[in-house]
Amino acid sequence: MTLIYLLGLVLVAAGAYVVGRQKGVTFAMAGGASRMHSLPSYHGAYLAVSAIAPMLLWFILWLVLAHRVVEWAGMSALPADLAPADGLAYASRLREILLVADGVQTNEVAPGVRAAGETYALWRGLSEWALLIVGLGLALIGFAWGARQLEPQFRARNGVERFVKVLLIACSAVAVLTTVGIVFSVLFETLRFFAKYPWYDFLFGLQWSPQTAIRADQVGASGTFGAVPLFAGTTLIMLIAMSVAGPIGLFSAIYMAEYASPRVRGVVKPVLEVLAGVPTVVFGFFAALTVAPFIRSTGEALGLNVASESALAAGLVMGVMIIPFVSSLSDDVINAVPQSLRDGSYGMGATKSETIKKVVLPAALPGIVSAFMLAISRAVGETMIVVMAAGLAGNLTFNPLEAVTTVTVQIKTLLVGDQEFDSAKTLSAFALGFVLFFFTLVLNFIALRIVQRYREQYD
Amino acid sequence: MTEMTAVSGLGQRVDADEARARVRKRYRAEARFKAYGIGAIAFAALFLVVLLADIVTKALPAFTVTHLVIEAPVTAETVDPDGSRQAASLARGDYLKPLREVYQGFFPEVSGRAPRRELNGLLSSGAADELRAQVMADPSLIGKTVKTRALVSDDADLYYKGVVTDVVEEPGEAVATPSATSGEVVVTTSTPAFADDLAEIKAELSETARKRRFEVDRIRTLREGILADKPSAELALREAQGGGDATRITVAQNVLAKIDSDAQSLQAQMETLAGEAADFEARFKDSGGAEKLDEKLPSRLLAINGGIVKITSLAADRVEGVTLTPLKSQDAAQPNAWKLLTYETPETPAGSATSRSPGSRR
Repeated sequence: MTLIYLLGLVLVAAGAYVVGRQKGVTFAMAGGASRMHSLPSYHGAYLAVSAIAPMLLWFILWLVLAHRVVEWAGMSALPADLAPADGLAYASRLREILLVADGVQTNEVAPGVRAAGETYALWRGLSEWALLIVGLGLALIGFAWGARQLEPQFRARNGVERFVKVLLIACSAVAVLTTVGIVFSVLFETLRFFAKYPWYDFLFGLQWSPQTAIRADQVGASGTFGAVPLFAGTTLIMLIAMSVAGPIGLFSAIYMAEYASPRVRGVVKPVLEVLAGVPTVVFGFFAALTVAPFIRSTGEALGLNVASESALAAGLVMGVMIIPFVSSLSDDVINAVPQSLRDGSYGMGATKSETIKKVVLPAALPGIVSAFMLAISRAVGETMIVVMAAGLAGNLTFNPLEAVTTVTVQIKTLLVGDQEFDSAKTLSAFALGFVLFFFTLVLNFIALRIVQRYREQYD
Repeated sequence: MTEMTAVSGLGQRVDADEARARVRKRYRAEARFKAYGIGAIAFAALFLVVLLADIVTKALPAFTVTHLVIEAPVTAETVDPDGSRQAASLARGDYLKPLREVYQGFFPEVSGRAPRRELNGLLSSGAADELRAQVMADPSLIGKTVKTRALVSDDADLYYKGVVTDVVEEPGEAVATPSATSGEVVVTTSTPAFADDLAEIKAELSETARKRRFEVDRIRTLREGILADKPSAELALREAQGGGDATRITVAQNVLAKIDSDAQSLQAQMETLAGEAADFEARFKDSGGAEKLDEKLPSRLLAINGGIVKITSLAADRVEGVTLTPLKSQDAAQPNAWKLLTYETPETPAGSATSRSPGSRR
């Protein structure tokens, strides 16, 4: 039925458009095109919009309300002794009713349920017809309303543009509302976690051992959710990654923007971008199977005790992964620095590197800082590499040769597998997610502020 | 502006020595700066190349398998139990048997149930699939000798791909004389041909001992980490006993018992490893003639006179061992007519006994 409705909607729009355009053309013929406010096609579009806008609104309203009404009708048709007592019973009763209504199962059900199923089917049919009939009726009313307005002087174009604007606002509202929804759902789960576990222990506790028992007599029944080791591990890996990606990315960007000939640039830039295109899983097993053993054996040759899953391996590979982020963004901002600044510097007798260090980089600083911030938030949020190469043990250490764990790895570990959804263990993942979200939000905020503050200084 | 006049020092000549030196310094800085850029790009490109090369070289062997080409007699009794030549009957035939018989014929010296089972284990359980397909496609092959490819087992396949162990071949440098053709063999050489190997084994001993010590340290840290939780677990037990809640007492007791058993098993591992390390160190220090080779050291095989001897004891000019495949003769072998094969991965690699330490299950 919804398909027919949408088809009808298209037909109504097309029909209204043709009629409106025809009317516009007659206006033009009668009074001359120069005396009209809008083109005939806008008259058509205006009529189409005024016909389908109420149809669309009615459709959305129907989508939200209709199944509730139908469900309510089916449920209230149940005899009192079959009426569900709680949410679980409600869902299973509804399933039975649906089976009857769909004609899948008509035998072996209680007569009361069968009656309810039939009522449900009746109401469902009614609601679908209501959709079609009311929708078409609304389209007619809208069409008539629009058609009455049409005249040579009518501002049809403005009306259409107003409609498009509203449509665009509605689209962006969907995106914004989704983000808000995500934030709030994470926030509420986090609050539920903090109801089970004190927030100061979570934020400042030194031991991470999220072992809650499924049975009461299991070993490790008490979990401790002190997240400091995770924050330390995340910070450590992020620092290692940034100490690789920062200088290398920045120097590559400087070389590409200032020194490289167009030919070299044409080769190097795609190569760096390939690095960004490698899937993180591939980086992950490269880190775990090649880099980590290499670091371990090198460390042993030097007499160091290196864990086979080390923060160094994960950090190094992650650093390489985010080189393209730093380099291509910095490259863009360096290119955006006005040539006049460089020319001025050369005119004073500065060498190229002096110009870059003293003039170009300060001018490009806000962009470079925001590139770094983006790279950092990428490093903090990266999961696959650390899952594979950094380990799971929540060690509180800043030794890059030991196994550490990060916030993202723990979120993944907590949510993989069968867990009841309201246990502290599962909920702690939301708390971690919230912290992560908050951290990246702050980073983005800082980056934005820096860009805003320094942006127009040299333009 | 003010800054510039302050540094440049008006009135200084541009061709003064100091000025030239300063310009040279600035150009050096310029070159250095440019080199940093090239270095950074080179690093990124190198990493990409290494990454791709690593993935490609590790992936390629997965696309190949190793077969043994065997000419096996296909008899009606084994492959066609009903004698009907119908697909249903042919599908139930035993195709592995003829392959195994031919294959075992290559190694007549292998006898006894266990060694023969081990030998058969080198053929994949799907070794006969190709032969079966051949015969089912063309039943007239029954009664003939069919050339077919038998898939080797995964272990054997990995060995052929060189994943299992590195094999080093050294040609013999002296005249070598075996004492027998099968069983326990002593091979003596005219000059101390094995002196280098002896030194190598000594080095391996000391290296293995060092690795064992290393492992001991690691396990000690692990054990201390586990024992550090003991006081809090004891406290929890006392509290539980004070509270009188039966489940909590059991939980606390279980926690405590796990800590104790983990610590104990780690202690035992430490002692084993430390004992091995001490043993290796003693052998390293002992400068006596022969060195025993066991499964904890790389295996060394002697290929001589068409047979293979697995070395169990090695001295500078004399090795003892057992034959894996019998020698054809007891003649003295000339230099370069025999060789020493070293399988770098020991039969039981270091740490294999300790890789499943309880602490690693966190």
